[in-house]
Amino acid sequence: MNPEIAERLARAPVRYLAVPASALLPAAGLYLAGRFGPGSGEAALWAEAWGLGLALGAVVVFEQRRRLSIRRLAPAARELEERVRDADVALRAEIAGRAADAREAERHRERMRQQERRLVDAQRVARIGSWEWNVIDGSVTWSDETYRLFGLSPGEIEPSLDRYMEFVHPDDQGLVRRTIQHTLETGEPFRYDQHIVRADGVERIMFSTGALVRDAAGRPLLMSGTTQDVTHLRVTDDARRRTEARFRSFVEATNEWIWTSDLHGVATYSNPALRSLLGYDPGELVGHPWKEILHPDDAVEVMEGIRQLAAAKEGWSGWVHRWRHKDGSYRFLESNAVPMHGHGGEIVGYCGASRDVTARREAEDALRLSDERFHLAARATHDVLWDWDLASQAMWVNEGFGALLGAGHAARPRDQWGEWIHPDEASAVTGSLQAFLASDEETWQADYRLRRLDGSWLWILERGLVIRCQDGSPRRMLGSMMDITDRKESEGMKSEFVAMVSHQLRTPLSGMSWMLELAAEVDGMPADAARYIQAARDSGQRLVLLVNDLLDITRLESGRTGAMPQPVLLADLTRSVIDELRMPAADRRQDLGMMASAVPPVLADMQLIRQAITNLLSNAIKYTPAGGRITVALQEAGGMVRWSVQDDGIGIPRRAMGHLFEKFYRAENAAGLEAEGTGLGLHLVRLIIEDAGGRVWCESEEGRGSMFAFSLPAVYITGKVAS
Amino acid sequence: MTNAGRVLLVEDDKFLRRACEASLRQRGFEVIAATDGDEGLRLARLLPPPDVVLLDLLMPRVPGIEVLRALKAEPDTAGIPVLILSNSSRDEDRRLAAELGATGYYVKATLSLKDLASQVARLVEGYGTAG
Repeated sequence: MNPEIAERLARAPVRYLAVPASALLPAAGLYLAGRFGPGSGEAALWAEAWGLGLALGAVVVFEQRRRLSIRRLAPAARELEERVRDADVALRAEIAGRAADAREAERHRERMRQQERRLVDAQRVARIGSWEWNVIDGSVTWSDETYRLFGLSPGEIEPSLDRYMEFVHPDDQGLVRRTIQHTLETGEPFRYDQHIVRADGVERIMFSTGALVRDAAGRPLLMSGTTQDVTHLRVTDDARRRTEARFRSFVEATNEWIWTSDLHGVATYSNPALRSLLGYDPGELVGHPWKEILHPDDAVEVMEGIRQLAAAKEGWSGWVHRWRHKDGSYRFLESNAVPMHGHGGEIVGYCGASRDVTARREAEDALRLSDERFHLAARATHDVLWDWDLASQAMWVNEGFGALLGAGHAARPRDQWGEWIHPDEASAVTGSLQAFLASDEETWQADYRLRRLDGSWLWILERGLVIRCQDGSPRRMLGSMMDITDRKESEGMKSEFVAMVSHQLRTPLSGMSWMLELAAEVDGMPADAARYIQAARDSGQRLVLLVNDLLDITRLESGRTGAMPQPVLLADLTRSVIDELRMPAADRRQDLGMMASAVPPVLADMQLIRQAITNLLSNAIKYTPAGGRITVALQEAGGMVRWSVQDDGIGIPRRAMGHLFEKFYRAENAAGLEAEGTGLGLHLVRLIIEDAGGRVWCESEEGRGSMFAFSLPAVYITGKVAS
Repeated sequence: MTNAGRVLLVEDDKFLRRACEASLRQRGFEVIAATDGDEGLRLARLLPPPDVVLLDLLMPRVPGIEVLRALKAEPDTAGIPVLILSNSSRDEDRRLAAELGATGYYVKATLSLKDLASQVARLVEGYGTAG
């Protein structure tokens, strides 16, 4: 290009932009026809688009719409630029040539002014600004719309490259400078996004394009381009990209197996969850039909199902089938799927999600099995089982109910059994059940007589388990009833038997004791005879104690102690027992003493506790050699009072330890001694202590003495500790 | 030996009765003995009334507890202290005896004759001029 023309052009940039809009049309048409072939639809489309683009003075806007690469368009743009310039030159020559014809010239000027107005309007409508930078003198021209895009009124400032750079966000200034520099050096057109801060302080994203005009020697003359506010577009794009990324990472991360398949059941996509579910990598499955890893019995059903559903344009849910894991085992997978549609609305495949329900299936199977077992057991047992739903008052009973009570007994809700229960127990049982239901307890128990249909009475032991709502109210109660008539009768017989036997034993024993007592009082009794009489009295006394122990045990075991709990000070009680036992201890030269710290009283029956302490101390005296030491200690810990007696006697063999508190048990090393014992003493101690809510235990090593201890709940009276 | 008091002993077991009688007589008490509840009631109503009644519970025909009830129901005998001598250590027996007004309850097998005599002596003294 002639440098003079180029220079002239550079001085008149606005006109330059305005004028070629119409002049370019034939050039663009020519170019496009050459490129795509005349008359081709593509070329026509391009031509139309070019026309629009040129009318707007924004070639590259069009580029963006068609997503044509800048590289592909660059030669076209350059060619166009050249043609623009040529056309301009030709136009000016024509104008000059016809200068004489003033009206013609005026018509041209009017046309140019119209074109200019149209361009301004078009830019305003499209919100695309144009600009031009005279590289040689540095002057910059902005179109009115460019001013507006930068938050300015048209002409408000004198534009320059520096003023423009002031608008560019600091983060993007480097990018802008590099891009411009690159274009100046290479002549390549540019396009970039940059953040700007508008004059009104608002931050926007601008999309700018530009191209360089050079002279024939290749020196840069002019750079011109467009700018456009794309904030909304970019923000929407970003949001869409983020949504997509989020969705993708969700699909990749979820434990559900997400897949797509075509209509023939061939996998087209699988997320990585397949690996944890069935052991395959997604790549191993994609492209293969499902039936390769479906259980053969299920494959046919699945394929046929897909075929039918596809025809009906439906998806599915809750399908459970067996899939073969890579390790050869089968897993139950439950799957849901929706159809995927092609552009024409036809179904092209399915998109679905599957999860492993093997554990659930197994649990269901186990439950079914356990249910069957329960029903078998419920039928087989002689006990009655019942299940009472308190909300609906529905009552289920097993077959044992009719068998036990008589076939005519219809099951009623459990709280309506009052009239079946013996009058002696009815109110107590009903009251106890009501109190239980109102409490937060879980289990309940009662024994009572129940009337059979034939009028006879059965002793019943009934146990219940309640299931409560979150607020603690009873929702459901399950119970069992056992016929304990035989047990009750034998208990009664045993109790009577023991009472009778003890009476029958005690009467002759009393006679013997009293006669021997009288005999011992006879004056002038020979010494030998007196000794024999005393020995007989001692034996009689032992027999009396044995009978007493037996009676106490029977009473404690039957739970009919008649115990009268009261606060008992163990220290005082122990001192009193020690006083009683001082004689036998002194006989064996034993040191019998007590170390007691101040402890609170315990709640127990005085007589029974006295008996327990007597038994423990008597044992210590009996099984500790002459000259030994026996020490009682009292301590308080954790709301309990701990009583213990330590001796340095013969100790207890390890294997005997677990049996010490059993009835009639005597350790072998105790039985070998002369010491008399019945095997009832420790058993009685255990019954007494446990009856009072305590615990008894023993620590011992054979040959090193023993420690027997019990603990009972402490009683705190007005916060004071009694000594 | 002075008369320490008049004791009515109601006991069906002859060895116990003999031993008890012997022991109390040795200690100066006058003892009248009955072998069952009927006889016991009859003797209790004789004059002068006994200072103390020693009463067994488990006896043929009229049980001791009925004798006690009858004694306490009659004004002439209601004031006589009654000691129950039983071999039953059942709590219900103890409770019933106490409710009916028995002064004491002893299990014979664990009671020495010496202790029994001193209990009787205390009651006789406490009963005042009856003897």
